[in-house]
Amino acid sequence: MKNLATVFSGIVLEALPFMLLGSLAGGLIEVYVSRERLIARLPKSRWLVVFSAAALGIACPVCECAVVPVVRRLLGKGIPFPAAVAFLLGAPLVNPIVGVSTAVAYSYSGSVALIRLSLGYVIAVAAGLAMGWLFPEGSALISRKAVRDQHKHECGCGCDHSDTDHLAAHPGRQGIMNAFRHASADFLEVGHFLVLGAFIAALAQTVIARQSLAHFGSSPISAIALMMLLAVGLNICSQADAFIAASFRNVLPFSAQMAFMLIGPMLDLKLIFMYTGIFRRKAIAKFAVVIVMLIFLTVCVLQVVLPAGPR
Amino acid sequence: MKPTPFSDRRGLFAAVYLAWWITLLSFVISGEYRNFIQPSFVVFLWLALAILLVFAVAEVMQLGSAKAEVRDVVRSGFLILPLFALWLAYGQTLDSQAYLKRAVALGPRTGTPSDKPIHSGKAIVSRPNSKSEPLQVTILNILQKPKDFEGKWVETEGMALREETMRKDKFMRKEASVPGAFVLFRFSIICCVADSQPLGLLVEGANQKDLIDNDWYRVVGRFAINKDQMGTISQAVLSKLKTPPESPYLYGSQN
Repeated sequence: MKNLATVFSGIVLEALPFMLLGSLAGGLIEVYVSRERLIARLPKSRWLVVFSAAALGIACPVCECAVVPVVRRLLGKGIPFPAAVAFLLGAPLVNPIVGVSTAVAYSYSGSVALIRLSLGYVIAVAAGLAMGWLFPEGSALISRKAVRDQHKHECGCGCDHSDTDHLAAHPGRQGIMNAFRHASADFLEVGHFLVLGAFIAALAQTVIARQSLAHFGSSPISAIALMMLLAVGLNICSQADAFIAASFRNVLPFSAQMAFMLIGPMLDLKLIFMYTGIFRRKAIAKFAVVIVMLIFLTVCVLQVVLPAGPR
Repeated sequence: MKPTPFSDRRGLFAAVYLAWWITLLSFVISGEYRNFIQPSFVVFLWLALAILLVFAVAEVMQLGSAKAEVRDVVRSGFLILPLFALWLAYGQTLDSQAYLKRAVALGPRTGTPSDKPIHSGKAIVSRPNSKSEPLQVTILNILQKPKDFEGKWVETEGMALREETMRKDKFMRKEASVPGAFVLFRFSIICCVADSQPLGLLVEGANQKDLIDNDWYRVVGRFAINKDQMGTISQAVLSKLKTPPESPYLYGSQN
């Protein structure tokens, strides 16, 4: 019980500031970024917009907790659905902070970091395109609740204009207060999912003995599957997960460690709950299958090409 | 019935934000947050405090605009839950049970044999004379560069995990197979306790008569890597610490 409370508190305490920051960024986007201007600045090519979105984390590193409220608002502003998915998956993984932490965790190995970031980018792009192909009507994916929240002004600004002309309707001080209201609404909408996910993750950490996993190390396939499952259950921040993966260096194959580092920032328990603030449940199930399949196939190829990892 | 601030949706949310703000502030000011996250993350906690306050003000300014619905109460309940956990875990740290769940293998886990001949943990060497003091190091220092400490006398602190407790755990057979030894352990944190790594050394030769799991001890002895690649302190002299170290966790990674 003591360990459960400690781990649960730790996960929430670590994620909370980033979640609040993400909500604040979402609120500011809602009020100060007009839909027309955003769409005008996006690349016109359907492919290019996905490729660019997956790499946005390099310029603006966001962790997985902060990215969810931001994507919620970007979707509301009309960013194409495949690009939103690519950004959602790419930004927490394909960024310099994760690159440095991975290199440090693997005894200053730049090649491990490069492999992780490159594969993360490829998977984010592929998942974005796959989701766009699976759901051509991207907006149908956004949960009815999220749409209602965005259009009925749960922020409480109290006016009946559309959300595209917030800035014109609320200039100056009134505008910033509205941004805070939107941000608060976003936090309340997604925050309880964070709590639920963090609790289940803490429970998994308290109950599962990691030593029991070592028995799966004999077969690369079972090791990969197991490490993916572990990453989903442990909910470790993308800046720290490489250190945990590296602790399995002499126990499990490199491909399994990479699977752990790839899936964690894209699909862990906490994120699955938080995604319900953006996507419908059926869509989340397909989304999860796409991510799992892409990562599994990628690391299986890695196992064939680099069975012992980079030298 | 007279309306209360909690029957107002905005009042309810403002109360949640303020409860979080008060708890977070007390954890930051008391330094208790270090039992959950890396100390350098305090900057983000201050930022969180500022944002929580802003959100609370934003909610207060809308007081009376809507009544609280059931889903608002449920949502608020979820957001309050971590506060109970935080107060429940106040002053607590991860213990031997967490160590047993997290430990994959004991010792430096270099994976490659030492350049030097492997010492048995029980090798007989001379004790340091009065002029040569043992090296005061943390378990993390030792495990980060085990070869630098091999054969040297070290003094370090950690919590105890008794042989008897290890034997009860089905995954710790290897460590428990060294009779008369116990594990001195601590946890290292990168970001938060969720990513904490267990750091343990096998301690041999100390009198374990009054040893208690999870109590803090100072151990002086000779460090070696034994034939099973486990970091070992042999010929150990044990003293119990009256209070845990100021920072029970170590910050960094052994990789």
